[in-house]
Amino acid sequence: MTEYKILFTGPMGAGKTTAIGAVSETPPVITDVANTDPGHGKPRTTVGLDFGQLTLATGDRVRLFGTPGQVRFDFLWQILVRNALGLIVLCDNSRPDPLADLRVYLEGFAAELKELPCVIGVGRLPGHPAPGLEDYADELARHDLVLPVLDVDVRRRADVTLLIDTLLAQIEASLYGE
Amino acid sequence: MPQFKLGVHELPAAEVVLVRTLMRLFAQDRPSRWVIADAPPYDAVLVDGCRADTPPEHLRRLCPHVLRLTRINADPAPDALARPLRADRLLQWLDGVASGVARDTAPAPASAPLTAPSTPAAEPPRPEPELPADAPRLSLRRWPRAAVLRDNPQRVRMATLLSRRALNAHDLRRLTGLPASECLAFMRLLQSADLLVAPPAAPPAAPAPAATPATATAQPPSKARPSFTQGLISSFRKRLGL
Repeated sequence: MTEYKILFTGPMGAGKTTAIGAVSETPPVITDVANTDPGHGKPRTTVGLDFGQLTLATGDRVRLFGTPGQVRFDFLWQILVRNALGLIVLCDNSRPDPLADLRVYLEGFAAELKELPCVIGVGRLPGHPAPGLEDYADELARHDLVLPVLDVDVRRRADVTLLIDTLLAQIEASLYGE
Repeated sequence: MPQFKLGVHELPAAEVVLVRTLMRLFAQDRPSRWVIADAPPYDAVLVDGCRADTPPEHLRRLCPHVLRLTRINADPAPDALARPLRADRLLQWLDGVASGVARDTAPAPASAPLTAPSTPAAEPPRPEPELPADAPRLSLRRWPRAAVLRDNPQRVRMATLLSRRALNAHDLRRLTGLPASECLAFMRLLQSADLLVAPPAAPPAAPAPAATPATATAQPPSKARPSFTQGLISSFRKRLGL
């Protein structure tokens, strides 16, 4: 049995815990505590990492890890991303500067993003249409990256499934012709 | 893509032209493809509801799916569409009929015998284009706009593949299993939007470096990652219900 890993990252409140819960076959292990940060309205926030899993028919397991959102935990990101199959960056379009948030993760994972499959999921777009998906694509282009950018609601399993499927498609493209 | 036949009965000539144009315009982007048929059998038929309140009996025998185009502000009815003709509502009705026809495998009821089978089509399907395997390979220059992808998961998948690697339509068909026409149409759409770019020419082969301990650290990151085969990808998709 082999274990694989998919990493969910993004700012606090973007929906990492919710996304993992939407697809995990087991109730996700959640390491959250009461939120004492007055800048965010969430009652609780992740301080360790969230953990879910999917077992394939082959018996192999795919672990779903969610990073803590605050930048002060970025030392964990480099540890968690090692040997990951792919990275899902969840952005919250209701935050004051979502593109600045995206930059944090593009720069934080810059070395890995040269090879690692990655998809950007933008949440809360219907209620907060600016910046638009094209602005995210422009931001990626400024970092010399061409990555899928999708409008998602991580409370919907189908949307989280689509995010994972785009990672799989990127792996498929890498394997093609080998 | 399944193909269905749409008949028109006693519609004004201008309206027939409009409907024919709409069918051609949306031929690529719908889950089902409708063509105007000059003669039965039909899968659906449009009639001028202003000339008769109910479709003629022979039409009912020919086709169970009849849509009446009625006057402006007419009372709504499930089998009626008020003028002026709205493309989105017409297409919505046609998609619903197509889904029903695709599901319906039961024989027609004896009280309304059909003169022709309700499944498509006396008209032969358009042959799929040939896709040369050695066509130029292109990759995405940037992620396409939402208007190009239209929330279509198949387009998202094709765009994702092209974001990762330079491919041609032949490659897309092999990777996705989608019809050649869809793969080719999408590549053309991306090209018309100036979203595709040829990969840079490969540099001339450099002489092999001398074997030194330093070269052992020059492995590309992907070699350190766990290998994930096509079989595992299929297994993963199945697990997700895709």
